[in-house]
Amino acid sequence: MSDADDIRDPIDAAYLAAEAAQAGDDARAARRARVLAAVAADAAAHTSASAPGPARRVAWRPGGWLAAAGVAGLGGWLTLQLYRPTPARPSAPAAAAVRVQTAAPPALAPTDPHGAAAPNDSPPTATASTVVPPAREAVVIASPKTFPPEAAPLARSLGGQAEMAAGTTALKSNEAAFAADAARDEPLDAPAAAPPAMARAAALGLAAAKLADSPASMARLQSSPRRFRDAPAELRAAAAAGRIGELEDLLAQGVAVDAPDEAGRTALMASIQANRPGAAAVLHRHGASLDRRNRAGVSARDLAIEKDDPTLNAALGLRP
Amino acid sequence: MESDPPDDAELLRAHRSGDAHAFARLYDRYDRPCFQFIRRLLGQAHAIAAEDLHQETWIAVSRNAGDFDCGRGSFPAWLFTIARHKAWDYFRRQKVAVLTTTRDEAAMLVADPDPTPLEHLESRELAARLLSAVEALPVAQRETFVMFAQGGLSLEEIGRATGAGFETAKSRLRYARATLRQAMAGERTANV
Repeated sequence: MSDADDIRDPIDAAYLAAEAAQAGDDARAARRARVLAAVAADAAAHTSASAPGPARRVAWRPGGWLAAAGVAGLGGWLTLQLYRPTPARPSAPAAAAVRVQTAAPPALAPTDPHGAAAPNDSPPTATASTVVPPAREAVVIASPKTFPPEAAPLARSLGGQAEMAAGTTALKSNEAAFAADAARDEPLDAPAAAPPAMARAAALGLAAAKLADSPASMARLQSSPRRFRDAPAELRAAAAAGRIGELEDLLAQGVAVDAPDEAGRTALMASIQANRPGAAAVLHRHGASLDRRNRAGVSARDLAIEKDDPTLNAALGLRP
Repeated sequence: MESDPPDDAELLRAHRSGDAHAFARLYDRYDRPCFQFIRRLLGQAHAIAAEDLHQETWIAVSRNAGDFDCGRGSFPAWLFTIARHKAWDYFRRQKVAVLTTTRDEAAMLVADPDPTPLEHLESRELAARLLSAVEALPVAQRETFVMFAQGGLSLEEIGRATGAGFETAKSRLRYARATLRQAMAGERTANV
């Protein structure tokens, strides 16, 4: 074989001419606007997620596992001291807290940030293999019975986490998301970036320490979008942003394809409204309903008809 | 005297430090080859996903700008590697059975080193046929050919990006060209 293969060939030029003849400037301009907006939104999301800043992250680096376990233990101890539920079950929270403490995972496997030729959004398997905390213990701690009435919302949140840990596939996406955040080399907020065991340990400590006297902390805890992830919401967000990979992953993990938000909007509706035919095709293939209606009585089919986009119609199998 | 435009690595550094215009400039340099690479790799059957994968590629570039090391390769090589990963991830999720080497042997039988007069493509139809021929190539040859012709990557870079090595990339490029020549020569004969 000659080295002539490494130089330009007339067929290469023909191909470039063919591509140029097919290119549409309008489509390119629209694509440019969409991509740059998506990149800006993604960067903004990561920036806001990293607040309040990298200073707190230092304490949560890999060496901070012991600190996380300590916080969990302190949280459990304070829970035991302050909120002993009934004389009949005095030891349940304490025992559970001890078990959670021992469930703190080992240090993450070392990774080589320069090992891969190119980055991939999904983190390496080794870094994502965090230990899933035992569900039963978390249920005991998070049971609303063990908290005073003012702690009910938080307890429900923790309970929800625990129920997911008991076996729902939605939890897997949360675990993966936490682990993915932890694996990324970027200035993430410490609790948000922490793997699940650490995040729960922090949540427990925070719950125990602040429950009675700091409603503001509770509110912040509950309002944090990254602390307790909502897989259906992630599905809708991925659909609206056209992130097919994330969409496929979530669906593969069993997230309900038609799970609506409070307005009754499904992921398919979100993808149609955002003009994401690729995402719409994926959702449609996974059985997303075209006829389910939101609270305004509008279905995905209605939205698609209103859009009247041939590409979108083709993605949804609708006739123009 | 006008200063030289910033190179790709400088634009990535500027992007990391918060310069939004730097990323837009970088995007404008490589938008077209990147998109066309993804589009050709997906082929007509999956063309619908090209826009989204293109966007995912650039988001990945933005997120991982700090990982780019110009000492290890050019920016286009890095970009095309990311785009290729996105496309192959997509194939994997869709369980697409990609055509790999079934046409290699047939391509080897083509002995037509003389360039055909395809430099002067005037007909959009002919252009479309050539693009169809590109999309009909086995995917390994297709990605190699588009990386080389459209992305301007060297065979060394393509070998690294695909994990196939220099010699394999070289073979794939040769087979791809031969197949395309054959397809377009037939087209020319048919049109005469």
